[in-house]
Amino acid sequence: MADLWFLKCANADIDRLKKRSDTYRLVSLLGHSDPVIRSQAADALSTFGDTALPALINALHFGTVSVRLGVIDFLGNNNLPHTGTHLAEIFEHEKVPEVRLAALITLGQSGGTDAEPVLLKGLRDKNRYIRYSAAKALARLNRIPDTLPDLIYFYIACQDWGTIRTMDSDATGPLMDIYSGGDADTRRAILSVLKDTKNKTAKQICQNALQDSDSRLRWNAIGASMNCGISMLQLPRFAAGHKRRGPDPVAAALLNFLFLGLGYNYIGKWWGFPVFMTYMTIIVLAQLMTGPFLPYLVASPITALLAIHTYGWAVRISEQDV
Amino acid sequence: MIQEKNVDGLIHVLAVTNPDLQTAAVHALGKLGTIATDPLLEAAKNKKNRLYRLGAISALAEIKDRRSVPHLIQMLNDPGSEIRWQVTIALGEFDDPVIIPSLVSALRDRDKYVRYGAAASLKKTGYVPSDPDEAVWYYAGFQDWDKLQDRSISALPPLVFLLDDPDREIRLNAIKVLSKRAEPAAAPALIQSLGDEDRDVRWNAMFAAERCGVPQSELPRGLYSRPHVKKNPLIAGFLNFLLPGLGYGYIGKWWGIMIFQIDITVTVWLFKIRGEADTYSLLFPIYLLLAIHAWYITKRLPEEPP
Repeated sequence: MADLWFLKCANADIDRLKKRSDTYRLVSLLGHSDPVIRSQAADALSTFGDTALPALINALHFGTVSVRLGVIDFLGNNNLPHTGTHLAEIFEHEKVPEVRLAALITLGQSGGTDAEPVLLKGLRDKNRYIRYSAAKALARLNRIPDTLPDLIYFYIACQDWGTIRTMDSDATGPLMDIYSGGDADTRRAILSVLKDTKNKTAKQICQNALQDSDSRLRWNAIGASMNCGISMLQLPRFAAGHKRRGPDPVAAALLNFLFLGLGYNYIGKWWGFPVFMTYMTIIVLAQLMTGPFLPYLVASPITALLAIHTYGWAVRISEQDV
Repeated sequence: MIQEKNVDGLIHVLAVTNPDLQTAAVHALGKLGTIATDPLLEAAKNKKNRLYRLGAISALAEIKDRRSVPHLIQMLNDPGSEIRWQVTIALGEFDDPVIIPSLVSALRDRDKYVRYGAAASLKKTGYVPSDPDEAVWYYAGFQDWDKLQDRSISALPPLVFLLDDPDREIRLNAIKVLSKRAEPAAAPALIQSLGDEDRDVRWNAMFAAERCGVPQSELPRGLYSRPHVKKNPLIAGFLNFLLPGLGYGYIGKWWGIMIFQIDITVTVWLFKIRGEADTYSLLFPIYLLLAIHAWYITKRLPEEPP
């Protein structure tokens, strides 16, 4: 229903909404898919000054993602009171990464007193877009961090791996922090830095990398690990602990024990479903003739054997993921 | 078959899966010359099997009978990309200026193989682009990124066109070239690329957009247009209410199908033992709880980072 109202509103005359001082509907148009309508709504709203603030703040917290992005953009272009506080709050609590990014960019462009702590926090974010935008904003505001840890985070955010390479063991902590939860490209870049710097304090990152879910990264981790002091003899043991992408053997066995065929289907065999349907048909027919329990009693030793078979099969499949 | 001039028999061999035998049939048909042209054209245009058609086009290229040129040009509009690719290569075998405009048009094909085939065939004919606009499409066909970086030529149309290519490597390279060229006119296309399905393309599009003068404030909206793979909580809840367990299956839980089967078994036996009214009154609250649970856990699934 909300969407239908929104479409109807999109065709309405923005001037009419302006005359009616309908700030709530005008704010909702800030999220329209047509940039022209967004721009017209923003122009209309800007004439209301502070009186539009309640509608804007309400949308900032309860609007759709598109409306929230529009509101943040609007706040960035119009100097309304307490904007910095609201944006800092959005950056802190918002779940959608693009909305957090928009809040950070707008704060960075405002350059107010609320901006710097948020930008410094943004340098340590797990999202590379946020880190990069925070670093860029700090550089533009001429507020390059003066403490060493913040400076290292700044260079990581800028993806200035050349400078990071010169920082040796000082960079280990921030690199380890960004490595955990970072995207695969950043993790690969961090490993490459460690490989080149032969940083002995970074063993933990290398151990984590050997167990990474990304197989390319695990491969890259071999060289880095040896340079960071992990002996070759330890490598297979560490690497064996990586999360397997194959089917869970216990799940496959349980499915096949309870519902013969579904376990096979789970490990990717198309004929699992026909097996399952045949099994169920036989069970139901047998139950109609002998009652509910006897067929299950007779079937369970067979399904138990096949469950063991599926377990072994699933183990072999997951062993292939190296 | 060559001695018997059995054209139909040789055409049938074109569809065998053995590539050596297929190639031998193509050469044999080529040696038969123009007597095979009409049956080959018929096969190239009307046969359902792709192997017949590809083989027939190759044989026509070996015969080099000028009568086949208009038919081959027509086949550049074929929906099958392999057919179009084979046609571009075949056209390069004809020493006839009439093929040039068609090959130049094929440089704007959606498929990279067709574009490459057209560029290679044009090169074979000694083609020299008549103006810079044609030249950039020619370079794009060869994926000659160094030439496309040259700011003295206007390469925007082919580069923007390549941003929609199905191959992510091509999109990535086009973005890198646009980034180096830093032309503000590329901004709208780059904003669109911020919503690309591929992470690397999106990341590089951000740098390119910045270099082309896109305001930073426009980046989040562009990024948000990327495909979102997050599951819909309402669908998960709805499925779990109607078919308990399938809502969990929808969000990727392997045990969803197990719950579904347990529910079916329990429902059937409750129906038999307790009757319809009792079954519904007993199961309805459980279904409602399962629906709420599926909705809740789906809603709490983390948002995928851009």
